[in-house]
Amino acid sequence: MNVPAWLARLFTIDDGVVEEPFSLLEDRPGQAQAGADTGAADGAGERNAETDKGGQGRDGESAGGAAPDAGDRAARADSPGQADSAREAGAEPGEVEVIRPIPLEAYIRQSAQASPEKSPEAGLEDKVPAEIGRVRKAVEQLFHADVNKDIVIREFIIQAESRGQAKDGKPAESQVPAEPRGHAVAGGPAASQEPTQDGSPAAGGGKKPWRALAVFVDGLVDKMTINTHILQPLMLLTAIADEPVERRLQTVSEALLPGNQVTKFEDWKDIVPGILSGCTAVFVDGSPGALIVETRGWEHRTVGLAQTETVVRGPHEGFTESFRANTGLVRAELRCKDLITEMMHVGRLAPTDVALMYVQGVVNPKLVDEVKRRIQAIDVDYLPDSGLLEQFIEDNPRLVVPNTLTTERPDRIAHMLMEGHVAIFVGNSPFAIAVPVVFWQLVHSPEDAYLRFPFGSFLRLLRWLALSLALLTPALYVSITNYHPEMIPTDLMLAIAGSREQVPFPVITEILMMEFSIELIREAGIRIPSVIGPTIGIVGALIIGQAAVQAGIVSPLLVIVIAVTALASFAIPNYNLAFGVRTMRFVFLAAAAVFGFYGLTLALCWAAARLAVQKSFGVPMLSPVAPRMDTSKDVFLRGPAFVMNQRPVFLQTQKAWREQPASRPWSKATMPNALRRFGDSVRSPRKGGKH
Amino acid sequence: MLSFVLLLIVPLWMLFYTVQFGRWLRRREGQNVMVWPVYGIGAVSFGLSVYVLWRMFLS
Amino acid sequence: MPRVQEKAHVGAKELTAMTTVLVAIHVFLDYPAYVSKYGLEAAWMEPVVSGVAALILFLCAETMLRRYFPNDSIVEVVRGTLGPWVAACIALVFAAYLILITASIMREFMENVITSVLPATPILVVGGLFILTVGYMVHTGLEGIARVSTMAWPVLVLGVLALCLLTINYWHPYFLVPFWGKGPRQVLLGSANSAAIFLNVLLLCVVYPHAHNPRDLRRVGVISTVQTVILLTGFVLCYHMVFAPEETTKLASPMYAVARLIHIGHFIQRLESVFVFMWVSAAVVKLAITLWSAAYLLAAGFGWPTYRPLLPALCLLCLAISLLPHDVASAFDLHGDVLMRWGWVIAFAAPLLLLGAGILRRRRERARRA
Repeated sequence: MNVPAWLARLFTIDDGVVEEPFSLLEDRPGQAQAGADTGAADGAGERNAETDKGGQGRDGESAGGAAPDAGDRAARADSPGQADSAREAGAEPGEVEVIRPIPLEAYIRQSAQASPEKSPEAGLEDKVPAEIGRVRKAVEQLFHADVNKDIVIREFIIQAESRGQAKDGKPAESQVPAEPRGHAVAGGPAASQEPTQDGSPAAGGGKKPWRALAVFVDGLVDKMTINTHILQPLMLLTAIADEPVERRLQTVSEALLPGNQVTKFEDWKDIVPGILSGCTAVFVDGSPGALIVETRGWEHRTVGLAQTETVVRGPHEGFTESFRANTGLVRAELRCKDLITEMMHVGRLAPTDVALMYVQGVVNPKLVDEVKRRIQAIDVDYLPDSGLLEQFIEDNPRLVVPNTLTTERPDRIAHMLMEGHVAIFVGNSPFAIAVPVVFWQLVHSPEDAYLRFPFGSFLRLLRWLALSLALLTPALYVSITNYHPEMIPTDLMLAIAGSREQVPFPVITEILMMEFSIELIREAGIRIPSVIGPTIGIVGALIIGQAAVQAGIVSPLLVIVIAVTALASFAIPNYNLAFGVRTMRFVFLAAAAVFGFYGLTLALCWAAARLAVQKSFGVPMLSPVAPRMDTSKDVFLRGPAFVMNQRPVFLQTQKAWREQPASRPWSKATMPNALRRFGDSVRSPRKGGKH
Repeated sequence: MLSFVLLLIVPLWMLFYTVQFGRWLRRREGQNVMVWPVYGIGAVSFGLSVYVLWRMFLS
Repeated sequence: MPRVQEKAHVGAKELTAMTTVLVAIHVFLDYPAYVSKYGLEAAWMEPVVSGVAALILFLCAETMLRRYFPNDSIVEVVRGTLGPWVAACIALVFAAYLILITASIMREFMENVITSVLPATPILVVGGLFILTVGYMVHTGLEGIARVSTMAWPVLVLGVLALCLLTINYWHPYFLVPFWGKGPRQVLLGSANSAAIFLNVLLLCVVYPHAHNPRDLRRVGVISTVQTVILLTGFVLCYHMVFAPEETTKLASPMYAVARLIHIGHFIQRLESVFVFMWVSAAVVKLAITLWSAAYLLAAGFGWPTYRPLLPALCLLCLAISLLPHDVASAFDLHGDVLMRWGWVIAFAAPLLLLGAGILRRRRERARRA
């Protein structure tokens, strides 16, 4: 019988009760033991995953799709205990539904047996053959060119002056067997091509043709670049002397290809991802290897306005569906040589680019390692979006408050990188993730910093008010009307009672109905085709605002309560947090409906305790308030830019200061304050700060 | 009576959980620790809560 | 014997907030009425006297711990010097006291909730929900409790301040004379009997190894005691200026009575429900601290690596004990006459005696070795 995990936890006790979450703080001597325990377990898991991948590489995993499905899944659920059932699974590799785990050794053995039958020639581990016919065959096989029409294989000839030919009088073909790779075996496939090849030198007189191949994926590449920068120079503008076969690729790269990024690779495992990411691979007969020429140029939205985080003052651009454009946008904001973009790939069948960005020398190295560890642990076939990566790496996916910050604003990412956060970009997702995040940052907006500080603070206060209104207004209304009517001044109470006179339902039913309709309008507003968009507003306003009241289904006061709640929830700048607030509102509503203020307070205590111990990548989510840390004022209010001179303490960065302690040394208005805080040392600015 | 029986689930669960804790402690730490207080506290807690429930609903 | 594997490390500010909340929450319970019984008009002196006494005792205990047993909690001190069995017994006694305190305060609190805000709800439901929340908070560990205390501290201080200041139009300063009330002896007696609320001495001895920097503990103890004394004295003063001396001894829930009085203009009136917020949240934090200390002491005394799986048993035990007294009166009597009156034995005498015994034992051992 399958017992749900939460139920099982109520009846069993294991070592999980003494485990501690990851923390950015230095390990203390006493903490070593538990850390070592979990660390060892994780390490073992990683090692498994690595060997696992090694085993799989041999059978040409992704491109050939050769991995036996049963074995593939079985290897993921590595549990060495069930060897017997595993062997059964290994016996029938073709059965898709067998998902029982098998031991790693058995899996490796099995995949080693399976691979020769499945893909006799083209494995990702192989080197590129020198003979062009075999290259073509391998490419066709790797990309399933017989059915897959996205792959374009363009064969052409590079004309070289055959100066060498005049000297020794040998025909061009005679050079071919001379090269180290066994060429003669390929006689079969190449045979059909022989006559043409023989014909072309004859036609060209002193010309010496090099057969070549350009491979690219249609739709991912910029065709103009291929035509003008690869095919044209190679086919028409060649005027070079013939070279020994093994030098040909080198010559093409150095003298014939005017592309800005040309790299030579010799293994399929490097070449195939290049082709899949929009580059063009150029193979030249006789030279083992390929030139990967940068020709990326697929269609994507150009950099436009940020859709969900608009500001009045500040940059308006947002990320777009282009990975490189996104990282480039951040780099354009942050011209820092220490800004590092580490690349990783997640996904077995279709690798997605994942970039990790941080500022070396600022960021806590422990944080970078932890982020990498979590990303590397993701083992999926395909990772479509940052929204999914977020779920794979966050500390507690079940918490309604997000553990990561998602943004589509390059300026925000740049700012957070400089504070010491780590940013993660996933494939072509227009949202970047920043970690770690504390609760307070979820209510901040980039505009707070761009505005002068009193107004930034004002906006923040407004948003905090909005947050509490969005969370608690319905609950407060229910508990006041149901349990504590004495709180309301008598006139108001009479007014409420009067307005509720017509309403046949209890308050909680009324509220739930209205909340439901508001949520409906919200959802419909997003899904509705934009042509009839305005209708929804009119319909919604009519139903909720007027008709419901006139029909006596809800009281007018409640309409105001719900409207204020809805407005307030739109003022929360973080989309994920807004969702959390939307759902928690119903929890508080339920607590208040059953036990009034008492229930509400207990629910709040519960929520506060939960949030207080939640960590986001080793940082307590309520810091710097609880635990209290002395840091620049950037929590409820926004401090003036010239006194926010320290990085957030909770990030445990390598550099604590980001500004001089006194950054307005000429000012009579602010200098005395700085002197009082930091003493006389701030008078000589460059020495004063602990930079 | 019904409430008594229904509410009895809670002390029973507590007792079971506490015994599990005791067994886990014994497995993990062996003779290093005193395990009997776990059972003692569980038993006292169970006895008192059943008594209170009984007084509330049955007496 | 293994130590409790609680890796929480708590900063000075959180500890201050925690100890302040632990003691100052008594303004919301029957403490003001209790001290009024002894001192009448001079009841406000009692928190000052017991606070000063507690401060002195705390400084003694802290000096001993710092000098002789750095990085040890009181249980470890006892185990190291007097042996594991004594340590286990001591832990059991302390834990039993703390559980009794938790239970009796909980009962008081539940009765207050039922009389004031939820008259139709059965006491079992009120108590069950309450102990669930407390249990959950204890489950989050010292860090969770300390952080919630940090957030609850401003609420508590603002609440007490508001309570005092918003009744300003009912103040009758002449209610405070005669100055000595029932007389200095009664005041001293009352102070001694109510000193047990200053549990911070015991608490600081327990959390000693969990402070970020144990050197801060002295400051933590002093600041939190001073804050507490100010809050308690302020409220008792205000309470006595609002109600006549005889009346002050009879009100079951002084805070609620004061809150009901608030009437400043048309809109600032009948705010007692707002105070339910503060009152409930502060009580949750306070009881979470005592229950945590009990659980932690048990785990430390018997050498368990964790206390969390024992929480269901402890919570149920608290709930059952709190429901044992038949009626409100006997519950209040139990709290006032037994736990408060004799609490000083556990709260002050026992830790100091144990530390003293430990020091003596250690010195003798050193002498023997020399």
